Amino acid sequence: MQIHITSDDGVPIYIQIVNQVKHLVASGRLAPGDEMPPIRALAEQLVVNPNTVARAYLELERGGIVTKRHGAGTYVSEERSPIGPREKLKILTSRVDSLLTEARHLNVELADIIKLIRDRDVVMEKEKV
Amino acid sequence: MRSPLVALAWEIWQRGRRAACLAAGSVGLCALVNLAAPESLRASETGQALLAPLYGLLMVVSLLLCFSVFNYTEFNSTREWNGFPYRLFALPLRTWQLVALPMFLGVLSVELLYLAWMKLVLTHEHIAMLEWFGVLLAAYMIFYQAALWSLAGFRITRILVLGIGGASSVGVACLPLFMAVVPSPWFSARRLTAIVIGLAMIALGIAWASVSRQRCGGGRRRSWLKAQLERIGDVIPRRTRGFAGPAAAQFWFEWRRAGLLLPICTALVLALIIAPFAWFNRDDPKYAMYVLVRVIAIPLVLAFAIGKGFIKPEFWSPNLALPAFLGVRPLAAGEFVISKLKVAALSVAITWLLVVGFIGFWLRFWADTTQLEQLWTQFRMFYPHSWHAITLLYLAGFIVLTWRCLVIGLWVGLSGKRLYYIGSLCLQVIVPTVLLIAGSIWSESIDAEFRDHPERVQSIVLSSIGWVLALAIIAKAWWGVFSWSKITSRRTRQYLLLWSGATLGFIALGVLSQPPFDFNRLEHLYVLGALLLVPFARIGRAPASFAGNRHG
Amino acid sequence: MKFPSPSSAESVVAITDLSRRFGPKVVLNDISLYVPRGSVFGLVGENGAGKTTLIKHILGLLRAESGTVRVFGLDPVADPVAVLGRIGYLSEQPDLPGWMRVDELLRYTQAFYPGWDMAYAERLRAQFGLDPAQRLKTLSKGQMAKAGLLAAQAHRPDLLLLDEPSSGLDPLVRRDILEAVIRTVAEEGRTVFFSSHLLEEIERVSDHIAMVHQGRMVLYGALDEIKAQHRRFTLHFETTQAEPPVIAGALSISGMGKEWTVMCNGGRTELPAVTARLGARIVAEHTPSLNEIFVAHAGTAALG
Repeated sequence: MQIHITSDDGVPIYIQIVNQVKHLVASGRLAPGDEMPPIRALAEQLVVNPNTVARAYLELERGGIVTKRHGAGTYVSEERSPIGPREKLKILTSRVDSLLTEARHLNVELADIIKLIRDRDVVMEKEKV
Repeated sequence: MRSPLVALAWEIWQRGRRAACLAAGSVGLCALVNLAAPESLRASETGQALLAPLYGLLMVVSLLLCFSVFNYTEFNSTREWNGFPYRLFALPLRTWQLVALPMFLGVLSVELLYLAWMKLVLTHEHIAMLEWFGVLLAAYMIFYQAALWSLAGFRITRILVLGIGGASSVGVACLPLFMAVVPSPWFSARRLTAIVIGLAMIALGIAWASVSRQRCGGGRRRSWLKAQLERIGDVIPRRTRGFAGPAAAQFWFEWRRAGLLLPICTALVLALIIAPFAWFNRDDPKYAMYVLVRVIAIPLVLAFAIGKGFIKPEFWSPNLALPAFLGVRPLAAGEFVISKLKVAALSVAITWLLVVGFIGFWLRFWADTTQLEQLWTQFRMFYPHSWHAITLLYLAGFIVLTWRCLVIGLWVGLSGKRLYYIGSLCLQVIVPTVLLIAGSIWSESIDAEFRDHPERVQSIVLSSIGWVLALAIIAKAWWGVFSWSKITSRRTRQYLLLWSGATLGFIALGVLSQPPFDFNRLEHLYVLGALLLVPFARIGRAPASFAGNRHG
Repeated sequence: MKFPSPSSAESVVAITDLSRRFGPKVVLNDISLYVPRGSVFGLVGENGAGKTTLIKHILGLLRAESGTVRVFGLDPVADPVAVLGRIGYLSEQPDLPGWMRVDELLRYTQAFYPGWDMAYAERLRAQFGLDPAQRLKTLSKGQMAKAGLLAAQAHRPDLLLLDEPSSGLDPLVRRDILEAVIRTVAEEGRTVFFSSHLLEEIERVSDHIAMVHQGRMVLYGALDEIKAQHRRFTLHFETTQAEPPVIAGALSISGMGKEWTVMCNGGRTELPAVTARLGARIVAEHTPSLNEIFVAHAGTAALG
């Protein structure tokens, strides 16, 4: 599993791990049922504190992306996220807000943003295949 | 600073201003004394006797200070030697300018100092050959700096050259005096002056050439001798087992640093100096005793010198602070001291083994032992029952004394305080010098007194020595209790056992070898002295010094 | 500034009100810090801030003039053997004796620590590529650091103490050192304390940090909390400001003209009101990196 951490842009490391794992799952490079590397191994590979990796795994588990099996490690969850549709939209609302704020600062029209979202969705579907 | 040369000169001044001020101050002080003292005092015998040695001593000291100011070297970390300051090579100056400046300033300073002494202070002495000494001083300044720079990579050779050169300077200075004894044109002051100036020019050239070579990356690359030694060291089978414990590991560490130094130095002196001398004089009976005494004295003298380095935490470094590598070892302070004591003991044992072996070999095969055999039969007649014991006790006594020379200063060296170390060094050098000077100054009056009232002098001297020894023993006991109170009782018992054994040995030696005609009851004084010989309190103080050094 | 202190049962290193002066210069001024067991503690400060002095106090190489230092609950000055036997130390300066060979160094160090793991040491030695017959003085600076790291780690110490381990080393050796740090803390109960001014490294591997500036403790706590509390705002003023605007509660202000960057520690909610009063609006808000936080506290733009 190839994850790359940068220390420059101020994003906390555990969030970077979470985001990259989410991307890997979404684009299909991590299939449901695949085993995640143990916390210690991933910490040694990325040269980050094991607590950070543990926190990332916790976030992923809370988000339903991975499940922890007792004594057998962590696996990408088979079923889809167990969170209800309202909570899902709530999580995504903050993302949309920051996207819209950014767009306003850059003076990009709403129609262009919607077109961008559609294009990116097509690209991600292609990656999955 | 306008010119680069002025900047360099200012730098020399800044580095050495303390020594320079001391030197100038001593000249000034003596000049003032010279001016202020009344004419009668100066001209009289006692005045001369008092002032002359003082002036002489201060003059030598100030000249040495002047030489130390012009010790124009810096440590070069890439080459790991103390040589011409490497950083100056990056300056936009030609090499001859860099070399000529300290040489010129050195010659100038030493000449000025010499003139000041001659003209301001030593006005009453009629010194012959004023110019000869002046030229000699300037030439020695040039030789000194040339040796410092060109022999930078050859550390031991440089020490030897500087030492021998310095010691022989007195002899060289006295060469023209031989003119009276051996009338030869070579001893005339003029010719010698010319020779010396020529040699100084050659030395200047050598210095310039070697500094230029060092500037372009030449100079000593890797010591050939060291490379050979390392190759030998790599071939010798090394221990591959682990150590039995931390104490054994620390013993190995200390042994590797300084353990074999005393035996090797003794072996070198025996092989290179004593053996040839003994060989050439093997047919002459009167040299046998002479050589025997020297051979026995060698380990003691060497141990005295090596002990100055042995007492430091790291033998080969001038730094008295404990290196962090050793400070972080989980080993108690007492164990560090014990490892040093053990290494010293083994070192001394090996050295004396060598010495005894050499004596046995020499007496057997080379020496003309006629005189010695006479003395030996006399000795056996004198002590018919105890001569074995006395000989063995003497040998053991020498061994203990050698060990004492190595470890007696541990409480000073391990403390990490430069002031204590230099102070103790100075005391050991200054006190005997002062006593010698005092003795030579008052020798006549002492001799006169002795001739007139022998018994009174004897009784005064003996009783005062007795009192001094008794007070010293009390002080030693008091301080010993104080310093050993902080050490575990097991170690205290062990050392007390050793100390008692050694001291009893000395006392037994004194008792057994007491001559029947001991009117002055010197034996009592000897027993008192024996109690002081083996170190007790100072050894007990060493772990506390070490702990103080370790914990800042 | 008082900091919350875990009980000493959890703290591997407990330093309370430590002060130290060298002559007239005050190097440490009332420092208190507690290193929890099993954590990676990063000590940050500019050169000369007193990091090495603090580490020397932990090792017992300096006596605490005022205040107390307790390591594993013991005083390192009173009981050096018990404390040092559980510590592995890598110093900033290469102070390994040059005359020793690598295998001699390992055998010598092994004798002092009963917990020495021969197989682990051999594995590390092979991984670091150190020739056992080589003399230490012929090693390069990076290899010397690796040799020191090997000697410090092989007995699996309860506390690994690193004093600016990466200074002057190439990225490969730095990575080896960081991997050693992670490997140490991944094993239960072992703690790492290291000082550095390479803040990217501290940010990657530390749980807790302490920031020392001119002998005083400026920041102390869990890294996540500290990063969460600090925020960097970009303000846009209506009029050009000739002088840096005074904003209450700001750590540092830099910029020119109409755009100014402000670093704050907490106080998120009050800032919009304050800036509105000064005639500015917040145009951007970021989580600063540790580098920026450090510069804000200690740099020339810092206020007070």
